[in-house]
Amino acid sequence: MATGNLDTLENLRLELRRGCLVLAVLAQLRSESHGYALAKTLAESGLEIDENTLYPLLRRLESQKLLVSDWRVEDKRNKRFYRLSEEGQSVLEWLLVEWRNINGAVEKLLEAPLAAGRKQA
Amino acid sequence: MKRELTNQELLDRYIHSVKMLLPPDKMDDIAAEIRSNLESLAEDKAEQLGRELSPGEMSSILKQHGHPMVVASPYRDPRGRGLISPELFPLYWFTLRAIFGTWVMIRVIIAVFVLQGTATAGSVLPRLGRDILLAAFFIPAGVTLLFAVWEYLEFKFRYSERWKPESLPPVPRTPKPPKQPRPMVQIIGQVVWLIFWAMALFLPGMWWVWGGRGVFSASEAVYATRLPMWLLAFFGISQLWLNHTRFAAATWRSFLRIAVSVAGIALAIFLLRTGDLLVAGPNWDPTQAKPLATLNQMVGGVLVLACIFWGLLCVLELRRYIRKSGRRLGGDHQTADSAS
Repeated sequence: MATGNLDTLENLRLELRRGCLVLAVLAQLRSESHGYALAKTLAESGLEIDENTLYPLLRRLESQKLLVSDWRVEDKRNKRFYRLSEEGQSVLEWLLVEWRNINGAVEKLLEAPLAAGRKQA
Repeated sequence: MKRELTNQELLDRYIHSVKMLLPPDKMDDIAAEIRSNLESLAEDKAEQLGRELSPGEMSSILKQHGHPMVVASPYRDPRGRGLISPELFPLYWFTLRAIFGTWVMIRVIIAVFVLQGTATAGSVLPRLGRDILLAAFFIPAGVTLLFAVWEYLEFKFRYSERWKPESLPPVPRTPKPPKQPRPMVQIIGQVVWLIFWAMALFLPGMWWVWGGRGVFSASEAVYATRLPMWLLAFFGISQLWLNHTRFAAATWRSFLRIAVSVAGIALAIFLLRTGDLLVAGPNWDPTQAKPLATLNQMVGGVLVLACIFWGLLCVLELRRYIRKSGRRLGGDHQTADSAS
């Protein structure tokens, strides 16, 4: 693949991931977690996220009142723990409905040409 | 021979470099979180290897984490970054403020020296204002151009990808705070000064403080403003007394500081407009006319400096108040969230 195409592909991939990451972070923070543990859990689930993206994202979500946080000691180290706020909970529910709708619509669109092709054959 | 840095020193240098580029109101909090994350990362790595990390391994963790400019940039306010990339913006902003601040300081010092010569405040101040306005246009233009060239070279040669954690500057040692005199000693000293100042202003016999043996005395304008001058000193000093009370961090203190500064500026401008503040005394020798004029220029210069100082104090106090209110609002929301 040409370098230009690779760049386009990478940009499209990042665009696609950006929205999903917010959803994944909010969903994971239904139970309390600190940034490092959250990054590890997301990576284990197949959603690798760079720390320099995750931490500013957590701050942004907190400033939007979707998350709340506090500093606590764990394993003799001070860590900042994040969890979903009540507002975050309702936003997550709304986003999940939207996510399922989009997912369903894209699945349908992907199946449509295949079904048409089968008919023609 | 150059000593190899320890893991802790490498981490400290890295965190310090990131911290210097973070927004001042959140720098400690964000830096603490990045440190905690990196320590966890290093701990996990050491656990995997079953031994302590070597400085080389620590260095590669930091390198992989990213250049301090790259790490700090997502935390900055995105407004006003149109021309400069987010990575370079913190450094651009710092350079701009440092150059502009230094230039203004030098220009003000020059103005004060000119005032001590033959020029009057009326001719020096407009020139100073015009020069500051011109600098406010040309300095940002020059710095932006320089950074644009840097951006181009960076894009071409990718300098920021060749950085090494070992080459980051060391964390500066925090100097020991100077020994403060006890509050009681301070207060007694200030009360004595206020009494002395009152005597100097209100007792004609005390004019020896200003004009040796009645060589010169204060002008009518100075006599007319003796009470406001004394009150200004009193309110200024009462600010220091309040620091020892429970009102040390009260919000109304900001307004009091601003009010004292504005009153100071008003008084200084009034005095500057009245002309010479020192006039010939009973033992005046006309052959000394030049030293008196020089002395008046110096008094004028001091008043201009005082105006600039009070003006800066007002701006800083307003800024501090706005930041404090912003933080308090943020904190209130957070508390409400936690409570719910």
